[in-house]
Amino acid sequence: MSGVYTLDAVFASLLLLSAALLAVTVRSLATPHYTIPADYLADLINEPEFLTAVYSGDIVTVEAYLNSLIPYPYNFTVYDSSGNKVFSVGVPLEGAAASITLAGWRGESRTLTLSLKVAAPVRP
Amino acid sequence: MNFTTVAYILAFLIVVAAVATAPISVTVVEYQPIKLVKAVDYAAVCYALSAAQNGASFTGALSDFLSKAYREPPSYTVLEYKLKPDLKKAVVEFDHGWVKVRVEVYLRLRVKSTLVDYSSGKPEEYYIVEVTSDRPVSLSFESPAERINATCWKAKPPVVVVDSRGLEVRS
Repeated sequence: MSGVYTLDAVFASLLLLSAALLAVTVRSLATPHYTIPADYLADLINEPEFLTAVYSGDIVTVEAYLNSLIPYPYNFTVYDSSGNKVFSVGVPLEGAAASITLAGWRGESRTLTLSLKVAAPVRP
Repeated sequence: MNFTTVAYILAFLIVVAAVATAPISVTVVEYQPIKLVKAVDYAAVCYALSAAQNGASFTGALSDFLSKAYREPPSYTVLEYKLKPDLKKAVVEFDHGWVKVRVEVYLRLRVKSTLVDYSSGKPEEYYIVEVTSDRPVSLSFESPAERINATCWKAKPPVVVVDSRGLEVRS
């Protein structure tokens, strides 16, 4: 009789262990992981011609810089000081953005906020 | 009720609890890489220097830029500042608390020699000028100019050069 209880207890333990492992897996899959592309944004801000293109609204040049630097899908959006979108380049993406607010460029005082999202694979 | 039945119930509850609570846990990490800090500080000095050459206050423009770029703007010390017709230069040290960043920005024009060209039939004066900067930048000349080597140009006076950061020097 005690053998039946032991087998039942062992099966119950295995069942609980499986459930716990399943729960951990579900949690890790359900938690979103985002990469903040601050390094890419730093490389872009380091290029004077890129900032000149942003401030002059030269979308072709902006896109050329982004395409040459970022090997993944991206979204680069520029907002003015009121929060209105000035222009956007790339594809709509969900995720964490690296952003920076600049007070001006080339002596021109005009506040713009640059926001960059990149769909790069998450590093382990 | 045996052990297995209880285990079935507990397992069901564990999985339901895991699924129900998973999306709620969001961790927000504030992350300020030094590469971005250096790039922003460099852009700040470029902006302040170009604003100063247009008549604005260098420190005023720099403080304005920093207050918009950072939630907690760094303190800074202007180590060198020159606003001459042939030299625009600023060296600033930023103290972010966790890191100090030294930024040097300059654009310099030197007239190395003058020459008179008779090839067009009448004497035309040219300057051989050397334009140097702290990093490679694209230049535009107001008068016709011909490149001689990496830093030297042959240009008709008066020589006015503007770089891609908006800094302007003249002979």
